[in-house]
Amino acid sequence: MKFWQKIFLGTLIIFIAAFDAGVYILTTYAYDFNRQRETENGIREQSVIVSSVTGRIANAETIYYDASTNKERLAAILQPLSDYYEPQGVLLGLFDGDTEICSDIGNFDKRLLELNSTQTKNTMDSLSDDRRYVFVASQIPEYPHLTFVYARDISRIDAFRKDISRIFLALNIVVIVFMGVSIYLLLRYMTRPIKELNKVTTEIAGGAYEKRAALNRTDEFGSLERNFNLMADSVEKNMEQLKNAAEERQQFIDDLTHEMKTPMTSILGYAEYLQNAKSTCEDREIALANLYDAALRLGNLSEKLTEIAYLRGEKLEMQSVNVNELFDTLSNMTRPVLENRQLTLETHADVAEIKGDETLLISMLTNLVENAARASKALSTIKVSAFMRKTPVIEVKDFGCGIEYSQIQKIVSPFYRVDKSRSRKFGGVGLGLSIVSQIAALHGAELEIDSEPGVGTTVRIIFAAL
Amino acid sequence: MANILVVEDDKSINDLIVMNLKLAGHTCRQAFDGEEAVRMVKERQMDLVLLDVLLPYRDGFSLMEQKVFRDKPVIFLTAKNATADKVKGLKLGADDYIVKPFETVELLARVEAVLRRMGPSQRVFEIGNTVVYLDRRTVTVDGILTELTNREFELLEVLINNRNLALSREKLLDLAWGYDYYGDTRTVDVHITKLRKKLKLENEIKTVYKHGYRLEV
Repeated sequence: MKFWQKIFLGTLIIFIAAFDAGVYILTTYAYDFNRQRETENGIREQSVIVSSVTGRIANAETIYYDASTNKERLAAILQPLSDYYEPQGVLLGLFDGDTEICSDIGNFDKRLLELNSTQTKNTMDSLSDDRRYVFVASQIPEYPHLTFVYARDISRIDAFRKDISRIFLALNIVVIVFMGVSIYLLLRYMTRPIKELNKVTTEIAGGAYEKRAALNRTDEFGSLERNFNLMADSVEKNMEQLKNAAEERQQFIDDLTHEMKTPMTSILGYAEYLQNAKSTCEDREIALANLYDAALRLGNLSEKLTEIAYLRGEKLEMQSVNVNELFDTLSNMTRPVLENRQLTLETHADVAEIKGDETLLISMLTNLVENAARASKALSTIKVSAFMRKTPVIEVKDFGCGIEYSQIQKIVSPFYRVDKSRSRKFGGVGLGLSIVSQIAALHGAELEIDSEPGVGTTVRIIFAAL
Repeated sequence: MANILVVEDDKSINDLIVMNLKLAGHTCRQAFDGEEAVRMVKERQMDLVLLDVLLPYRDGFSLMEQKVFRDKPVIFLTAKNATADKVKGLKLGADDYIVKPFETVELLARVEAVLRRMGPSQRVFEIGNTVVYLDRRTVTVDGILTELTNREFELLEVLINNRNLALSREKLLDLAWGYDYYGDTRTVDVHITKLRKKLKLENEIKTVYKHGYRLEV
């Protein structure tokens, strides 16, 4: 059963029960009150009639000595009174002991006549011939052998109770319908936020992580909605991160596959050619040279990959590194590449020491200088300098071809090359800057790249502190 | 034979393909980027284009959208082996798709297959005094029709398609007898001996020591 249905039924049942209980108590009280009043009226009227009967018997005694004992005489005395009261719904009876002298009253409980000497009056009401009567019996004080019985028809209070009950039943139905409709509408209105939230939750569960609830309320639903949206935000962010990580990994694998397949194709192809083809000496030399190049490239790639894998698990020990010595080592290591391309390396150190891992710093700078060398035209210069700018900075500046602004963000991702074709005109495997950015991250340093096509590129490593 | 344009940015792979195609008697031209490929395909009549997907300036898929390329038999040649890429290549109108790294035998077979589908040319192959009519499956030696068994002809066709390339006995079994044939490699020797004798090709069908055989032309 739905939540609103539970509340609906619960509220309705409790209300109807309370309403009906109230109605029952009220009608019962009114009925009892009416009966009480009728009884009191009966007692009063009976006393009046008794004194009237007493007077008439006394009058009759002045003429007949046996007026108080003779049955016919007493009946004759009572008859006019009976005739007078009958239209008012009052029946009279006169008894001697439990012997009837004269009576209009049909069946009634004879215990009414058993009066003790101390008791002067006996009252009860009971049904007789489908009508309700209030009975009042008492001895006539002047003639104690006579018992006078008075019966008053009070059926109308039963009828009244019946009428009231009928009215309340009709009222009950009206109230149930009215309450039902209004509670239903109220509940639908009040549970609308739940429905709305439910819809959004289902959508999010189905994968639409960008969905948000929009209730704009100030009550508990409003705060639930705000918290819910916060939760959805963080879920979406995490999903996004996971997706990006997965995409990055997939990109890395795709690129790696390409990078490995190209030299592998050469190696396998040329090996096959050398083994199987009817070839000339010259063909064989070309094949061997290409085979060697491809193997070399594959070797390079595996070396860089090993370095990246090694960096991933690395926790470095920070030591003070002398910048001048660092630059000397860098010059020595990059000399073959630079001489090959007829380039000059200028180094300048304003900072004496830098905190870091010497081997990794060398690796980082070598990668940057090699990148710069690839971008540079022959006979140009590459400048490497260290200086203070709040914190220590090492800068590698070339005056080569430069790169487009839109490419700068991407060049640190593995295998990314500005030239989409991956042509090897500039050499390298595309992992250099990836390694540089990892080493920078290990040092807590930031990488800043400025470049302008045709002017040159400047890479700055901004260290955290001394 | 056919005039083939090889579009591949990696020089060593481009050279490798050209060297192998030359063995089969094809003439080749080389292009190393998209622009160059467009120029060359417009300049000269090409029978077939081998097209790499990742190219400088314009990639192979975008080249394929041009009419000049669509009208030609094209085989894509790439390291991308995702099914989606293959489907995309073929939907663009390529005739076949070769994934790197590939075997020379496979390259030649696919090139041969595409050319056969395209060319109305009579496939006739001459070695010395022996003429092989590949379509009719008949062979004449000195103008006289020579009877060959089905298997012998298939072996001969494999040798012709991979001429100037040595094929191991296992490879010959695979190609001429089929992958599901479990036979002794000696079967190959027996058939080769028969071919040499029937077609008088003792000098042309060379034994490559400890490896297999090569049809040299």
